[in-house]
Amino acid sequence: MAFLEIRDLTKVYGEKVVLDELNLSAQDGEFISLLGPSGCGKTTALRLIAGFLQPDGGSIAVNGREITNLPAYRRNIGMVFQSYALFPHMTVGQNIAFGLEQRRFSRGEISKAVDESLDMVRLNGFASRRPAELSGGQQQRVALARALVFKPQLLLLDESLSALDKKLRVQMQLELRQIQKEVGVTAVFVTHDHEEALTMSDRVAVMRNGRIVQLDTPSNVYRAPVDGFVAESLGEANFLRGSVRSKDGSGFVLDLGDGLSLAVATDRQVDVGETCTVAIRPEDIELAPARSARSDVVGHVRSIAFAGNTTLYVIEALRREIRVRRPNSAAAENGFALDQEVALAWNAGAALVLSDRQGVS
Amino acid sequence: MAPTPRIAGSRRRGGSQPRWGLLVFPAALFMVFFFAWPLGQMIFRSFTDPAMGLDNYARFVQTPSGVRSLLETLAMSAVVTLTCAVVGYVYAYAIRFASRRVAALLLLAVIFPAGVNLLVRTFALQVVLRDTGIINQLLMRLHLIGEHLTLIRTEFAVALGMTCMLLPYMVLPIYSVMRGINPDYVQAAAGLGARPVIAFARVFLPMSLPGLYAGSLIVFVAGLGFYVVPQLLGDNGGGRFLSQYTADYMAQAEWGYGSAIGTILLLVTLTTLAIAARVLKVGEILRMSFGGAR
Ligand SMILES: Nc1ncnc2c1ncn2[C@@H]1O[C@H](COP(=O)(O)OP(=O)(O)O)[C@@H](O)[C@H]1O
Ligand SMILES: [Mg+2]
Repeated sequence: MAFLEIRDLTKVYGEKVVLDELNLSAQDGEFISLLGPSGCGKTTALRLIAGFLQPDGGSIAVNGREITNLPAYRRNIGMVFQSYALFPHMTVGQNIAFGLEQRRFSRGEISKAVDESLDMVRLNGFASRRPAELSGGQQQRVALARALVFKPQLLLLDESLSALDKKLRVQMQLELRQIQKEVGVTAVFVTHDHEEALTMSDRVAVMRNGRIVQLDTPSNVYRAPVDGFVAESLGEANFLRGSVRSKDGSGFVLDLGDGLSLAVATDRQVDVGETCTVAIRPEDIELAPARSARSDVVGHVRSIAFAGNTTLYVIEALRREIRVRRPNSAAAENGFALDQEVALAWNAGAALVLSDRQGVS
Repeated sequence: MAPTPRIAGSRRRGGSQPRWGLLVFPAALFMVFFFAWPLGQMIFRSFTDPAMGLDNYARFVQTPSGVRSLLETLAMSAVVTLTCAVVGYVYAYAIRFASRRVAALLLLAVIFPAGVNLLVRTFALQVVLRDTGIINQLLMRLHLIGEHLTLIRTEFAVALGMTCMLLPYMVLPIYSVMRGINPDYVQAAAGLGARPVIAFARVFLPMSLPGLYAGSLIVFVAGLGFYVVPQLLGDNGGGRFLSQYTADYMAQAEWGYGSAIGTILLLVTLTTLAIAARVLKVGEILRMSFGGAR
């Protein structure tokens, strides 16, 4: 049995089913991200685990012990709120000490533990400051220290980095993950930022409408999404839909209609004649001046958007718009012009076959 | 190239804002004529009528009933403030955590009476409290008492009346501050292991104190000047409150002495405000309780 075991967790508000028999399990020490669009039930799931809300069905067990009906104050779970929720009338030190005081630690133990955890988040000397005197990143670290100091069995983080600016956020992602590894605590991290989920997690749970659609390693959810929703949740994707014309041992040929076809390398089993959707990541598509290349997919550049280290091209090809993202570097000059005729090419393995075969709904 | 857009308002700020300031003038004039002027008159009179000097104040200090009335006024205001604080806090807490509909009802119940004339409400209380009033009748019917309880014309009646009249001014600032407290704080406390009572005592209560302070200040200061309620519900044979005491002498055309008592009442009020301003950072509290709700 996994360390955190959530079974059929359900939460209903009036008519609205916010969590719909959600299942999730995490190994001891694992870092799991809940990724999904706003309103899909991420916060609700976290609040149910923390015990701030009561579920309408299902169960939650941590470390083999069922906690579904335990009040929040007896769960021993650390939580970092999106708002941080640092007590404004207490100093940083008092905030961190709060959880230890509830557990009746001695004064000496408390002050030692507070110092150690301030050390851990690199805020030595901040104990007597008020939360309002700290920057967003510092408040975030205090909230983390406060949630970890009493050695909780689980750490929950609700979009804890979203309020920070991009540069600080990336730094905190690394820092947070490093601290979590050091402490060895199992963590559930809620985010709507797919890059954050991919860089930080051992596994990513992609959520939609109160359910987990796919729970897998970052590379698997990115490279083998079960459906179009997952594919789009984790980054940009071009979707191509057609019917299987023929197949062999290494893959199949997808008929896109109008005499267009596409070779797909996959070990997934499909039947000839079946409709099927594949996704191709914009960065997996290569561009070359038309006719100079081996590809027979040809199109015209319709728009160019420079984004620093990459450039996004929208190419009209295969009777649709295909997004292509090419890396920029001093050495490789992209140099495609608007309306230029270009050839598109990709590795046969770049076409991701969506297992529900429905594509984007 | 398009012309550089002028930053709207940047010119206006320098040029015409002082003229807008003139709009304050009618209000200021009003205050001077109807508030500052009579008040100045009163203070002036207390030192000059019937003769120049501190005679009126000496008389007040030497009159036992005068000093007693000052102390009773302070004591009554303090008691009423305390009662309002306890009742008002619980009431505001109930509004804050009631369902939407119940909260609206409770809020209406506290705001609505504040719109009814004070005199009317005091008479209504008189009807409730008198010997043949509903309270006595009910208790007699239930055979809990054999004889009428004397409720009216007592200090209890005054305290009750003042509490009723002043409760809204306690409830509203407290509720306003409570509404601004993100529920995350209490949940965070629970998540850290605090049982509900501790979470309330160590997190919610301290965070709601500014509302309690603001309400207490308003109620205490307003209580000092109460006249109608003690006049109609109090034991007028016994102690008189400062406001009544002033009126008594004014009615006897003892303008100088009456003014001195009025000035003392004003002084007590200002002292209270000054102490509060020092201790409680009033500006911040008032801003939090009236501007803090979102
Ligand atoms: N107290 C509530 N009453 C009614 N609906 C709610 C309540 N809390 C959340 N919801 C609804 O539940 C859904 C999921 O909310 P939430 O878990 O906060 O989503 P997320 O954190 O993924 O953005 C939203 O549609 C929201 O409107
Ligand atoms: Mg949320």
